[in-house]
Amino acid sequence: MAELLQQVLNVLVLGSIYCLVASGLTLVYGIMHVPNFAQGNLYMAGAYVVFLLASLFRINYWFVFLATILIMGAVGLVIERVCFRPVRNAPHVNSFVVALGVLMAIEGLIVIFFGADYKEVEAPWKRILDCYGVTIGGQRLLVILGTFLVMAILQFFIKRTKTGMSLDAMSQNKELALMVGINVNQMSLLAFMISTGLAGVAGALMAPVSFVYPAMGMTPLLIAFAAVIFGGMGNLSGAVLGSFIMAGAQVLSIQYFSSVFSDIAIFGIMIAILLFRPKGILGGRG
Amino acid sequence: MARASLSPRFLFGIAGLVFLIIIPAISTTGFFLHMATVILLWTMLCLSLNIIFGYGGQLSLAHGGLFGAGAYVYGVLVTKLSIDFWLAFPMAGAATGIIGLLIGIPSLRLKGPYFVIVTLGFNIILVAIIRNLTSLTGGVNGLVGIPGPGMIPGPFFALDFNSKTSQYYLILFFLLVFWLVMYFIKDSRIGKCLAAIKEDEDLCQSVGINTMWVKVQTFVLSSILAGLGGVLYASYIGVLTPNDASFHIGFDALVYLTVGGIGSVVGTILGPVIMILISEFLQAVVEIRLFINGLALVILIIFMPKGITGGIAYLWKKLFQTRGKAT
Amino acid sequence: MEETFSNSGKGDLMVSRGKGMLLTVRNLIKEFGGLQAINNLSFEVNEGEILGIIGPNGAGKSTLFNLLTGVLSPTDGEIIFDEKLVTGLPTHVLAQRGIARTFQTTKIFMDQTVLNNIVIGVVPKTKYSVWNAIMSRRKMKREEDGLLKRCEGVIRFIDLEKKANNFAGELGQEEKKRLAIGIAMSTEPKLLLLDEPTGGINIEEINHLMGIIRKIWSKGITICLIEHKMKMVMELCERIIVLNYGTKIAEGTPQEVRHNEAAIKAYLGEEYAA
Repeated sequence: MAELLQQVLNVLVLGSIYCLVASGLTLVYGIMHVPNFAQGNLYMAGAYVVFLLASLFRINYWFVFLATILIMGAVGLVIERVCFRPVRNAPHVNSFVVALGVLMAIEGLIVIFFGADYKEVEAPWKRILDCYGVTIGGQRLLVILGTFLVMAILQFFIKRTKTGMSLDAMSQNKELALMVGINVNQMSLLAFMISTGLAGVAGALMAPVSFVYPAMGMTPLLIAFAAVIFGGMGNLSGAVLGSFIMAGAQVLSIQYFSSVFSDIAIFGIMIAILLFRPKGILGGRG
Repeated sequence: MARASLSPRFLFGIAGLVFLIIIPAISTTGFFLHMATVILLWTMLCLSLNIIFGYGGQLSLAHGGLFGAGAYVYGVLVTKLSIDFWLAFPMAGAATGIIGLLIGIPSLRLKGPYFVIVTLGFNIILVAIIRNLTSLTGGVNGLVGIPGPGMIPGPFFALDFNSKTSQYYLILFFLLVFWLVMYFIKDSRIGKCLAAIKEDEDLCQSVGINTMWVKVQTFVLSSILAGLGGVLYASYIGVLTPNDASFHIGFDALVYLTVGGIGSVVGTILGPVIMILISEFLQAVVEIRLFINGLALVILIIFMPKGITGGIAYLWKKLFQTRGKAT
Repeated sequence: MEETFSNSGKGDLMVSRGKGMLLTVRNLIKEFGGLQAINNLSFEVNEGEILGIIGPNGAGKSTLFNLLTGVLSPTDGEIIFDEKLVTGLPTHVLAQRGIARTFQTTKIFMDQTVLNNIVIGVVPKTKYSVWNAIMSRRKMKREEDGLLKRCEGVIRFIDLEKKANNFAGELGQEEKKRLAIGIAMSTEPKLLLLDEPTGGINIEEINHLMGIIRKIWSKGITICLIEHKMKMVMELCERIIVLNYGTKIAEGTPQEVRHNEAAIKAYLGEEYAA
C-alpha cells in the first residue's frame, strides 16, 4: 500500500512537470501552428537560471523562482520575435527547422557557460514529510503544489480574462478571431511567452529535485509531445490529461522493466500513441 | 536529356571533382587529409538526409541513428563474426535498409511535425538498443579495433587499404557512387513523384500514385546510404561509441545540409565543407560548435532557406538576368 | 453565346457503349461524429452517360465525391464500380482502376510546368520505383518518347498546347481548370468526377470548358458533374440527381427535375432564407 502511494506520488511529480511543458507546447501549437521542439530545452534553461541565481549567486530560492518566470518570459519574447515571426509565412517545414535550431542554440549556449557536467541546486524546503509510510521530499511536494497553482492561474486567465479568452478563441478559429479584431501578432507573442514561462516554472521547480544537466530536456520534450498529441494538439485539458497518463506509463515501465528497457518502452508507447490516435494524425481517412 | 555540356554548373562540377581527386596529393599534413575524409563522410550523411528531406520533403531526425546503426552492424560483423569488409559492407547496408523499413512504414503515415517527432523517438530507441546489447556492441564502452577493408587481389596489382590515402579514395569512390544514385533518383520518374508528393500528396493519390510506397522506398534508400556512410566511418575511425548514433549527429547533418542547400546535390558537400572549416577556424571546441550550428540553422532558414547554393543561384540569375521559358 | 448545346446535337454525337451500370452506390452513409453528411444514398451511373449532381450548399456533393474516390471511407453502404466492390479501397487504387476527379479548389501542381503536370498523371501507368530509377535507366529512357506523346495528346485535347512549357501557376483561372481536367484525363479514366469545373470563370470560358467536357464524353468516358450553374447542367446532362442533407430528393431527366416539387423546395427554401 505504501509502495503504491509512493508510485502515485512519483506519477504526480513527473506528471506535473510534463503538464507544464506540454501546456506550453500545445498552447503554441494551437495558436501559431508551430511545434516548438525547443520547449524541452527551455525547461532545461529554466533549471539553469535557477542554478545560476540560487546556487552561484546565492539568492533566495523564492525570489529566484519568480525571477525565472520573468526571465524565461523575456527569452520567449526574443525567440518569438527574432526566430519564429520571420518564418510565419514560409512553408511549415521552415518553422520546424527554426525550432530545432533554437533547441541546439540553447543547449550550445548552456554548454558554453556551464559545461556539460551535472549541477545541483539546493532545495529551499529541506523537510522530508513522512506519513503512512510514504516519504516525500519537500521539493517534490512543492512541484505538485506549484504546478497545481500555476495551472489554476492559467485556467483562470484563459477562461476569465479578456486576453485569455481571445487566446482561446484564436486557438479554435484563427480567421474568425482576425475578423473580430483580435491582434494575431500580439496573441502569438503572448502565447509563446506564456509557453516559455511555463517551461521556466517547470525547470525552476524541478531543479532542486534532481540534477541539472544540458540534456535533461530531451526526454520531457518527447513525453510532453506524446501527451499533447494524445490530448489533441491545441487542447489544453487534453495535454494535462495526457501528461499524467504518460507519467503513469513511465513509472509503470520503470517498475516492471529494468531501467534499461524502460527508455525503449516509454518511447515505444509514445510512438504507438502517435500511430493510433486518429484525430488529425493519419491522412484524412476518417 | 540534352544539357548544354559546357554550362557553368558542369564546369564547376568537373573542377570540384578534380579538386577532390587531387586532395591527397596536395595534403601537406595528415591532419588536412583527415579533415577532408571526415568532410566526405559527413557529405554522405547529408546526401542520405537530402534524399528524404530535400527531395521527399520529410524531415527525418532518425538519420544519426541510422548512420550509427550501419556503423555498429559493420563493427559487430567484422569484430565478432570476423566477416570481411567486402561482405560486411553490403550486409550492414541491407541491415540498415531493413531498420529504415521498420521505421519508415509506421512513421511515413504521419504528417508534418508528427513525423519529425516519431523519427526522433526512433533515434532514441536505436541508441538505447545499441547501449543495451552490451555483449554485441560493448554497451557504453563501444567497440574498438574495427578493421578496414582488406586487400583486394588483382591481376596486375593488389589494392591495399592500409594508408590514409587509400582510405580517402575508397570513401571518395563510394561518395561518387552515392551522388550518381542521387542524380539518377532526381532525374527519374520516382524523383518527379517525390517532387509532386511534396507539393500536393492528395493530388498525387488521386491520379493513382501510391504515395506511401514512394515515400517508404525513398526512406529505405536514404537509410541504406546513411548506414553505408556509417560503415565507412567505422572502417576509417576504427572505434565506435553509442554517441555515434546520437540524434545530435542527425541535427548536425541537418545544419550542414541547410547551409549547403536543402535539395541541391552540390549543397551536400558545400555545407560540410563550410561548417567544418568554420569550426576549425574558430578553433572551436565541441562546446561552441553546438551553439554555432544552432545559430547557423536559424539564421540560414530565415534569410537563406535555399542555402549557399540557393544564394549563389540567385546572385547568378541577378547578374546575368537569364529570362525565358522553363525547360 | 454559341448555339452548340441543343439536344439534337447531343443525339448525333452519342456513342453508346452498352447499357452497363458503371457505378452503383447502395445505401451509402457517412457520419461525422453525429452529423450525417451522407444519409442512406443510393443511385446508379450508366456507362457512357453524363450524370449531373446538384443541390444546395452543404448537401453533401463534394463529400460524395470524396467517398467515391476513397478520400473518406463510408460509415456504411456499398460502392460498386465496374462490377467490382470497391468500398473502402484507398484513393490511388481507385484511380488506377479508372476513377478520376477534379477538385472544387482547382488542384494542380503550381510549381511545375503544364507538361510536368500531365506527366504525373501518366507515371502511375509505368514502373516508377527506386530500383527502376537506378537499374533500368535505359529502358526508362526508351519509354520516354511514348509517354511524352501521350502527354502531348492530352495537352492538345485540353487546348493548352501553346502553354505546355509554362508554369501552371502562371495560367489564367480557366486555363488552370482545364489543366486540372487534363491531369484527370491523363490517367485514362473510365469515370470522371468533375467538382464544379466552372467555378469562378466567365461565360465565354464556360462554353470552352463545356466543349471539352462534351469531347470527353464523346470518347465514351462516363462523367459525373457537380455544378451550380443550372443552364449548364440542364444542357449537358442526360440525367440529374438532386441531393439535400445527404439524401437524394429527386432524380430524372433535366425536364423532369425542373418540374420536381421537392427539388424546387430545396432551392427556393434556400432563397427565402438568404
